[in-house]
Amino acid sequence: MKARLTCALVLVIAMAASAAVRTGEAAPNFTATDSNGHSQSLAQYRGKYVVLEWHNQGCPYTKKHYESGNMQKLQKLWTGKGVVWFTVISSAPGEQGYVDATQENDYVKRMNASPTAVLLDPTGNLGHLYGAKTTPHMFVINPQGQLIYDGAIDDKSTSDASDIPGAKNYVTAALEESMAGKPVTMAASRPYGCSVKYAK
Amino acid sequence: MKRLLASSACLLAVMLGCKHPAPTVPQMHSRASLLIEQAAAIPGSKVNVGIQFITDGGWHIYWQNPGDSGEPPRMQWQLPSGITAGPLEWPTPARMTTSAGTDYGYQGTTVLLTSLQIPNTAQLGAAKVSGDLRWLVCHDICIPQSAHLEAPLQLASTAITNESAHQVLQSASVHLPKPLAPSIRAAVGDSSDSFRLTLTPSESITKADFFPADVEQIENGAPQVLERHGGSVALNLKKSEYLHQEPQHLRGILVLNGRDAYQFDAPVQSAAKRSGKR
Repeated sequence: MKARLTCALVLVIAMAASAAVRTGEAAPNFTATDSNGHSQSLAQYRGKYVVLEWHNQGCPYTKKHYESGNMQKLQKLWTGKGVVWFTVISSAPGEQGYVDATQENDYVKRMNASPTAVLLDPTGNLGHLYGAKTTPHMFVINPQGQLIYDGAIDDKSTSDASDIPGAKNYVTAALEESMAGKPVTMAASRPYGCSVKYAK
Repeated sequence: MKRLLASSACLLAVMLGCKHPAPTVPQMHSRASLLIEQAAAIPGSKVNVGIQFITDGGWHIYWQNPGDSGEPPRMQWQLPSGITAGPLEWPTPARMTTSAGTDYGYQGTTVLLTSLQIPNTAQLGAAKVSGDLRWLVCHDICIPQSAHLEAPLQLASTAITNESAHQVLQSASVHLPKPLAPSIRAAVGDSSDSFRLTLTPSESITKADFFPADVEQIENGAPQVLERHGGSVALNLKKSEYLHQEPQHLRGILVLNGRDAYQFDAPVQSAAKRSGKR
């Protein structure tokens, strides 16, 4: 029975990987190593909201949200309410945004960022599993393990930080609606930013 | 001289005292300039203007709909009182495949065209036409660029052409899409997963390629399949997974036979609407 269950799980993950993830469906489980050397899996946070933020510190769109302090503000706001926030780096070695653990920890400190953890994904496995296209590209998973948001951080698809104050933040909207027991109005949007610098 | 020495010393002190190396200025991979077709213009007339971009080899800028990533150039005009700028006219873009998907843009030299309307009441004399331009230039990575562009224009009782600008703008206008020939009838229908763009008559059409002016309407990377039905051809465009609201119109550029670019704007005759489902 156990073996059959495992088989079924593997199949689900394989299907999710080939067809990319869809909102409303189960978010595929993953295990990854964070910048402090700890192993992090999605399954261990069942019962909590989880945000995935694809990241590349050299990308002008990432800079828009970090140099303005917007991303740090979101991280502080939501981790403060018990949300698990994973920053994910899928840049391959030699590509823009690739960092080792020390460099990333320096960056987090320098930028005063407060994700729960930064997942280092130089193989791009996690990025491909979720179909992450851009930096940033945001995903929100509910306590039942369902994907409830997939897309852009907000509705102003520019690299200009002066657009942030007037933008509607889709991550905040999804979390607020879901926590209030409502369906998420904007469950998927076109992510904007730099292409994820996967291994070529 | 003393002051110069003092400031050099300061600079040296700053340099020596600096723990981190100075941030390197990112190398710019494109340049932009403002071209005005006339050196002198008469009040009450329209003056053609171009924003010219030149990118380094392999680098590109974006069309008004950048596609799956990127963003279009944006110009914030600063014009003398009463003078207004029209909308930007964009040449036909190229389709480019990147790791994020399919983008629309330009490599090499690109000129966006527009015109300035000079009011009848404008005072004669020197007028400064300027603006702040922001754009994104990309290769494997993207760099946001910005520039303050400026060009002089005399308002006078006799018009004088700026020959070099005139030539650049003339050759640029060749790359703009033309109005769709009145002999071609166009219609757009849809199904749950695609738009269907029908053109009649079909005799001269062997290839069709649609560039959507609006984001999040069609799947940019999907093959556009041309089918022949009697006297018509139909181009099937897969709907974008991010299409949240059925568009009233499909707007964009239609390139026929890989050669002739036309402006396209047709109302969508939605199947859902026709069958009274909505």
